[in-house]
Amino acid sequence: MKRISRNIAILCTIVFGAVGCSKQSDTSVPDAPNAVKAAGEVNVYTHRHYPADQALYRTFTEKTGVKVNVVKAKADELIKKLEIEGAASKADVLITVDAGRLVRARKKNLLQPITSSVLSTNVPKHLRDRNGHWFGLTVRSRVIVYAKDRVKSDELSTYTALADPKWKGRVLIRSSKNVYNQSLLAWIINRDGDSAAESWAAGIVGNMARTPKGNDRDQIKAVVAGVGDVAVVNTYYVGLLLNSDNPEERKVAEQVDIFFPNQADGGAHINVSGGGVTAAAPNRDNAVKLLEFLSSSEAQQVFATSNYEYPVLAGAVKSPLLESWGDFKASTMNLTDLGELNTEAVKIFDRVGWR
Amino acid sequence: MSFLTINSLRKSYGRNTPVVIDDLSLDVEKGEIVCILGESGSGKTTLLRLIAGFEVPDHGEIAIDEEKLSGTGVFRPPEIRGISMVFQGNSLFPHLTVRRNIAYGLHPFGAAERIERLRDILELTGLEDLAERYPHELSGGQQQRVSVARALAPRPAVLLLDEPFSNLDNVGSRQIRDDIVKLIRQTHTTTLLVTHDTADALAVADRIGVVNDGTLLQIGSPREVYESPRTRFVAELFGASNFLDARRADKGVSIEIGELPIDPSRLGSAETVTVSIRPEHIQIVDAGEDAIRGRVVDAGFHGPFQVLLVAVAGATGPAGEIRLHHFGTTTYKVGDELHFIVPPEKIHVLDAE
Amino acid sequence: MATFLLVLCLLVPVIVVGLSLFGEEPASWSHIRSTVLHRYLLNTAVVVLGVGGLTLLIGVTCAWLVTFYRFPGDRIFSWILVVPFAFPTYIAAFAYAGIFDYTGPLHSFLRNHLDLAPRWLDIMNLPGVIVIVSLVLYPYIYLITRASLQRQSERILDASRSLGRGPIYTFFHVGIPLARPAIIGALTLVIMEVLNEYGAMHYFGIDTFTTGIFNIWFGMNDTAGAMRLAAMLMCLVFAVLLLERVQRGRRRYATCGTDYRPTEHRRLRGLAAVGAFVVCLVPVCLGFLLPLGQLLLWFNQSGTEAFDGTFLGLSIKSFLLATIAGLLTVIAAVLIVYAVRLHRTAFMTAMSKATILGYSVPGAVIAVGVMVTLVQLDLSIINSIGQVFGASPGPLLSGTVFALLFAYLVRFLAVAVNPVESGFDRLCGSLDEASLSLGKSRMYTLLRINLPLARGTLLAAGALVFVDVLKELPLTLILRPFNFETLATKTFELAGEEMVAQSACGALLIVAAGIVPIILLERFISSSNR
Repeated sequence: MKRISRNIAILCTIVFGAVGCSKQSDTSVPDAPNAVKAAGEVNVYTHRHYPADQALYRTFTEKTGVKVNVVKAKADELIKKLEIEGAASKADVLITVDAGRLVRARKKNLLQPITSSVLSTNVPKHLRDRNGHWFGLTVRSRVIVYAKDRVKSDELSTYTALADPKWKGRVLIRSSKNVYNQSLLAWIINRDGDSAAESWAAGIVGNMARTPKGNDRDQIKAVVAGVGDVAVVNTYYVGLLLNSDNPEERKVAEQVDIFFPNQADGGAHINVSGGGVTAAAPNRDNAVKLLEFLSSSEAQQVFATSNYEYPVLAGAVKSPLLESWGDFKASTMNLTDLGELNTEAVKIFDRVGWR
Repeated sequence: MSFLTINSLRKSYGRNTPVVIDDLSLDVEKGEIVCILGESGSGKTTLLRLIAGFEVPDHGEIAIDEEKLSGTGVFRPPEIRGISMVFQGNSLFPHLTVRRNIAYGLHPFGAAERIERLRDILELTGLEDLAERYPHELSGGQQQRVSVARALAPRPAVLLLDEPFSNLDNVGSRQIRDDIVKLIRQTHTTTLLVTHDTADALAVADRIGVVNDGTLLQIGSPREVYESPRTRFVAELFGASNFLDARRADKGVSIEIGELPIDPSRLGSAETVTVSIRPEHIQIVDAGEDAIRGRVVDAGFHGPFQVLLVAVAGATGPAGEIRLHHFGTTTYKVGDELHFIVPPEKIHVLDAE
Repeated sequence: MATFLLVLCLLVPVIVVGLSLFGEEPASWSHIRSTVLHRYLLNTAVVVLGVGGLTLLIGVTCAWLVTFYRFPGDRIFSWILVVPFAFPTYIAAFAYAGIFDYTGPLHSFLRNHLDLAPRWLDIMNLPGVIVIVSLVLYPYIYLITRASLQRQSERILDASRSLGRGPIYTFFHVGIPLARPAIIGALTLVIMEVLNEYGAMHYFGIDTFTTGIFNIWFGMNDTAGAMRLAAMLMCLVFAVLLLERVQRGRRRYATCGTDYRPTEHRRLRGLAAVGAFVVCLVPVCLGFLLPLGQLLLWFNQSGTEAFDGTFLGLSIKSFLLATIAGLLTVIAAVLIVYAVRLHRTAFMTAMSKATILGYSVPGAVIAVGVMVTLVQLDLSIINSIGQVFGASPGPLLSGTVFALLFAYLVRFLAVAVNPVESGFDRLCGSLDEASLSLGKSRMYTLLRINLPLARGTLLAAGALVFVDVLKELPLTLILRPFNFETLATKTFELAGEEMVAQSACGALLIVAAGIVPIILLERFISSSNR
């Protein structure tokens, strides 16, 4: 591959020679990085695309004077971008919505270890990388949502129980292409082993009310529409529905309840949205500052109130909605392990025919 | 009753536009080839498109074999008229081979007959060797032969040809023209051909109809139209002629160059008329009583004959000049004196315009 | 020679992707092959056939009706039929899902006002996706076919009728075959767009080849495998393109000579007029009015708060970007097509076919090709400058607007090359030769003879690229400079991944911005034909 890249480089040089040079003048970015101001800047590659994040970046700039530059795209695309750019990359921070992607980035040596007492204090141990390559910033829990009128909460217990034939034709869950499902299966693989995980996945496929389609919100709607009785979704989608502008969607959310599974069995599966400092970061210090800020109680509160995600910081004020759902026992499995099992999870999904 | 009858046809495109075809009537006998001769813009293509059914007439009737095709309350679409049209320029289907172009209209025939018909036509037109070619692989003449073959293949009741020889190069064009006409004659197809080329019309037609501004000026055999044009326009179409204003006189009619022995009754009630005298009908003679004297003012050699412009003695200006074709062996030069006569039967009195 | 270099330039990213074929077998390949590949292939084939067939049916029928007949509303239809094209496929898919959603207007109405709870009408399946995708892609076929039909010689169509064939037979055996290069070109675009469609397929849970590529990339963390799958897709498309070329054989579809009569409209009356009206109305309603209605509904529910005043600036920026991209792409397409026309060699033809492959693979994949290309180029420039001046200027191309424009060029060249090619195909070769023999240079001939004559198709090509760039998402997301937003990325940001309701405002603006050039183009084409 090296050789090929080299050849391409030579080819490019020949081909672009004239074109590139003549184009330089009119396409060069006016605020070139050479002229970094005193407080400097920090360049963020993020998969998160919430308006709340943008507001947080603004607050950060106001507090520190550090300018935040952002490119938003899918995590895997951003990882590939970092990989191709290599040492020339301008990115300082990579933020994803899944720990698995951060693990991938680390394994490709795209992240560097950070020692920050602030981050170590704010982020619980199981929600960050053992060596400080990445830190969780918000927690999402994958829970069971059920139709109040058809299912009693004592019928529910664990993820595993959903594979029971009792639920035949009643389970709604989205496609296996979804990273949250992949991470859930990776979690089960880590707990119960490959074969148990595969038979669980096969059991779920057997119980599905329909071929997987749509997003988590569509699964909740399908529960209310009577297509199935229970759905596996992330918590914040219920929050989004409850606060929807569409009254019909609010009605839907009121007809379901949330059940946190595995409360007596190690806690519910969680994943994090988190970030790390890139290996080639030109503004490493600012990058650390940004991550520290995002883990501070000020930022954590914003995450918890605007997007219905759970804060990683213990004691951060939660939104009334999250409070109303009550505390739940979350799994303390280290998320690094989940990232490493992601590929295996996808293979199991494919094998059992989970679309 | 004629085979193809066209009765009081009128057509204009849109309300306030000039009339393209104006009260035109025409009869064509079965198996006849009629040429419609006219300049571009005279409405002759529109006439064909009306007959073919691509245009709806504003007024008038078209019928074949007493069956009405266009007329009050009747309009038969082109595909069921049994009329084939060969369009000006190349209208072959570029994505089909010669064979499939010709077979295109053979669908009314049964499978066996279709094959036979196709073979016959290819043989008749001598296109066997080109059958698998695509139109763009043919010369202009070959394309035209295929066009006619394609149109003849379904045995149309009437064949319409729109300027079929206009796109051909000069050298081979006569050969191709003759081939095509032979083909039409062999199949005894009733044909209406539109052209602006007098020579083509004269060579091909059983009858020629001259059209101008959407009206039929004159129709008749080539000889009739050529020798007895009814109007100056018709006469001019068939080449140069001497047009002379004539008045009643003692012995006949008098014109600028002298008196001509014409029966005054041919003038009708008019006091003055225009007469047409074709240059080749004027004979050079020795001096004599009836001979008119003149001097050559211009001379040109045209192969079989010499074109002379002769100023008649005593007359002045262009009106006193006569064009004549001299077929003898003697050669006249500018300045030579000569005498000529005009045989009375060759003096043609035109209709008043 | 310059063109050759240009082609090479544009080919580099495609080659980068293509080279992955020759790597070692990716780890996930055997797994894919033994488990899901057959389903990917089957679904892809069904979607391609379904969408191909349906877009042909809608596009060609409407083009035929509008070109050759007069019926109530024909003038309006002639441009409004293009408008569904302004919908990004994924937005149309979300809008449709929204309409038929349990909480959508249809079911809410039935439930709340008629007290009906019909079995959930589900459109999120294979037939559903085929219909929806066809409804927004048929304008490709319609636009290009109509341009071709408008230039068809009426003489040839009349010849068919005078040989005893009715209008329907003539349509299928002469009209359509003569428009074949144009129709095939448009169909190629549709099929490539279907092949690289990810958003709608993913949301509807349809596993196609492209969702497979992303499954390998995102799910299994196997970029090489994903690239390899994409390269295979590309090879397949390439093979089909060449096959079509070979199948044409010696056939030609254009007649030389300019003495054709412009086609005349025939007036339809009675039932025929009503029929034509309905046939044209259905795609407009389903492809435009219905999803537009859903967007407006969403906008009404939630859109106003997202409207924070930045949209005007975004619109102007997006407009500019799309205009420049459209211009550059058409210029490149003209140069390539003209070079092929001048040197009719198999090599040049293959090269030109290869340049349009950037459209057949998902945007994210070609983005990787572009990134590799530009980063390597940057490195070589940095190194050489470093050697000469002893200082490194930092990356020059990657992460700039230039990178983005280059990527658009690579990606959307296909969209321009196809119509430009069919436009040039209709020009007589003898025109070029006449100009050259009169001592004019090739460039002069191109500028003064070919371009003015092919003006209509060039504009059509430019408008298509414009709208495509406006809608483009994955390339822009990955390759854009820091803090760079367009209408599409802003919409995407507001939408979250699958929540178009919140971004109805942006979606509406994309649609609106796409309609403007479509209408202008339509105006121009109809005025130049009159």
